[in-house]
Amino acid sequence: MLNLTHRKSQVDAGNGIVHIMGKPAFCRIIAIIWFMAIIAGFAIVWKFDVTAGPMPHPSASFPTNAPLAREAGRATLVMMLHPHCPCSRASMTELEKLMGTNPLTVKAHLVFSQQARQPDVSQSELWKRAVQIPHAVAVKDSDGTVSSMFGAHTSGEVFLYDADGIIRFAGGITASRGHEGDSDGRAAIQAVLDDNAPAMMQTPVFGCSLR
Amino acid sequence: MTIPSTSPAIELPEVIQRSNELLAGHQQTIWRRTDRLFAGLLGFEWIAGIILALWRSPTTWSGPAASVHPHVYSATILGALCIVLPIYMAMTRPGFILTRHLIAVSQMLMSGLLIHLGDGRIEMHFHIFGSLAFLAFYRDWRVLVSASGIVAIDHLVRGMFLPQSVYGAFAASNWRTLEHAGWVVFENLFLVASCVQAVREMRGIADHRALLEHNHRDVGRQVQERTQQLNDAQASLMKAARSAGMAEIATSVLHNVGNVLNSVNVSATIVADRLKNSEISTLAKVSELITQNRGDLANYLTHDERGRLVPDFVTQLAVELESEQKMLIGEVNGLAKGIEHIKQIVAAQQNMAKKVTLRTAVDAAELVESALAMQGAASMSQIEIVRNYDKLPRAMLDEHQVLQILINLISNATQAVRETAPGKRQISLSVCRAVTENQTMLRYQVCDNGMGIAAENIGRIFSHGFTTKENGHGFGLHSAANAACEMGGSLTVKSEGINLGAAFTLEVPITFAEESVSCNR
Repeated sequence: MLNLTHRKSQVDAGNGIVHIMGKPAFCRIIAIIWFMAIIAGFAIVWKFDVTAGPMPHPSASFPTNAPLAREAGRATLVMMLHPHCPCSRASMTELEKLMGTNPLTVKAHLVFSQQARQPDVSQSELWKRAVQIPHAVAVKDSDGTVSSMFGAHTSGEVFLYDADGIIRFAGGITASRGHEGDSDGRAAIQAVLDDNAPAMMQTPVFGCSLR
Repeated sequence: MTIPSTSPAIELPEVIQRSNELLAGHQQTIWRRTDRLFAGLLGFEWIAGIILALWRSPTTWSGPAASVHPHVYSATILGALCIVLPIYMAMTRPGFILTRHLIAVSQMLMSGLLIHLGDGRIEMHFHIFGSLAFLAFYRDWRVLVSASGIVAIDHLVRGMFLPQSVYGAFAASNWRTLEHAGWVVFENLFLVASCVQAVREMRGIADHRALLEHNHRDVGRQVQERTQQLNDAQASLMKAARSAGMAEIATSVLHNVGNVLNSVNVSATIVADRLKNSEISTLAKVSELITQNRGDLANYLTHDERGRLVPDFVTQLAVELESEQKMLIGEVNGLAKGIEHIKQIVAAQQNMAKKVTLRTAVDAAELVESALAMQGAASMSQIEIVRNYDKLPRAMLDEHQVLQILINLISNATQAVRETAPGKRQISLSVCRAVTENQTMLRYQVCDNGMGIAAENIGRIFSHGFTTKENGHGFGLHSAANAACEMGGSLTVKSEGINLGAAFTLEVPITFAEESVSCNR
């Protein structure tokens, strides 16, 4: 298909050296090197994309001293967020989809970690999106105590407690760093909300570190 | 839509070769243009990717600490890497097959990068399908294969090692892969068909144009051949015309010389008769008598009956011989003039080919008299000549051309009056000056009271071959009219009809040396 050569290359049968007779063959070699370099570059990008934060270690039930109100008869979802984490936009989008699909069965709390020497979290894009989500409450975590109560480390981390306050899911709801779309985490949450057994209880979290 | 060609010439090897050249040239133009288009597009996409990264994910955080997000590096460095070689090839080797395949691969890689920088949003995936449509601009379906191949390789490789990055799940169904592939195949089906159809149309255009060029060359060749044939035919016609002209000239020479030869012949006959019957023989007899009576000459001359007559006889003989000599001299002079005129006729006809006109200062009235003298005394016998000559200065004109015309006219007039009763035959000759439209003309008129010209023949009297004479050739008046026209003049005729005579008028443009009395028209 790639009919490049108008000249032929010779193979030195003695030592197996290929003599490049013309520029088309040289261009082909350059193209291959170029392509390999790009593959390497994308490999690095993908590696970063799928590098998850530390796995969460949530408590088996909803922390009683958490300043987050639960509603009787409804599941409670808590998402930890760094206000400026760009990867959490995708997590926010997936949460919007979940809340849109399950308006009556779950109440969400979006806990924003207020960082030192940073503007107030209420000024961030994520906070402004959070307050728009129905049945969701944006909460400021000034000193990181709330995230510590739930054992969260990474922005975008989600904890789902059923109506009885039992932990049913902990992890991320994006398939890779900053990517929207279907994910095992969102599927698991949906399964819990649908009273189906979840495929897994934990998924990797892709986002910025909260601490 | 393919342009149909039913001409058998489309199967000719040279037409096919030319069609291939035209198609290749057209394709090269498209490939070069599209290469440069994509070079610009790739550059634009690179810049857009950097802006997107800086806008959407400029920094990554670890608690309060921020650092440059890897997306910025990937947009800048990886993006540059994706486009550098294709852009280089597009600028240095546009139209090269490797160039457009590299561009196709690069465009798909940029799709992947932009999707990555755009958080994998579904809208960013439109870039893939849009890129495939843009790649169809090449009208080369193989480029679409390269581009689709990159998408397939990406899905296969990431599907094997990072399935969650492609399908959002760690265990993706094969149906998902087919679904993704299906949409690409769906679009490619139409794009490939479009490319094939486009190339087919380009082939049709190339065939049509090659055929037109072939036919144009063919027509050009035929035009050249026909032009050459026309030139050859024209040369033949000119040759024939020249031959005809030469025949006409020869006929003219013969006719004009014939006219003069009549008077030359008459003069020669007169001289011969006169010499034959000369009184010189009588002188010989007288000399013999004197010789016989030499011994007693005085007595013979005074006392002999016959001797006494000798002195008076000799005196009378001297007078007769003198008279005879004068007549012979006159006839010989006429003979010499005739021969000179013949010489001039021949010279004039020869000069006609060179288009040389010899104008000399002549006495207009003398010219008429010369023409009259050329007729010979015998032919002019019993014809009254009426002369009406204006006193004119010498005029610059072609003497021999005019003389020839006058000889023709006077000769015709003498023949025309032959049927008129003797004693009543008359020919009037006049010469005067006329001024027409600011030009001075010399007007000769030869009028006779002879057989005249029928009304139906007036229009044809100067036509070649027309004659009313029994032994005529129809050339004299035709030649005279042509000669008049060549001199810039005219020869006209008037006749009241049969037996009512005719008047021929010759006008030629001249210049006079002095002013004179002019006649009115």
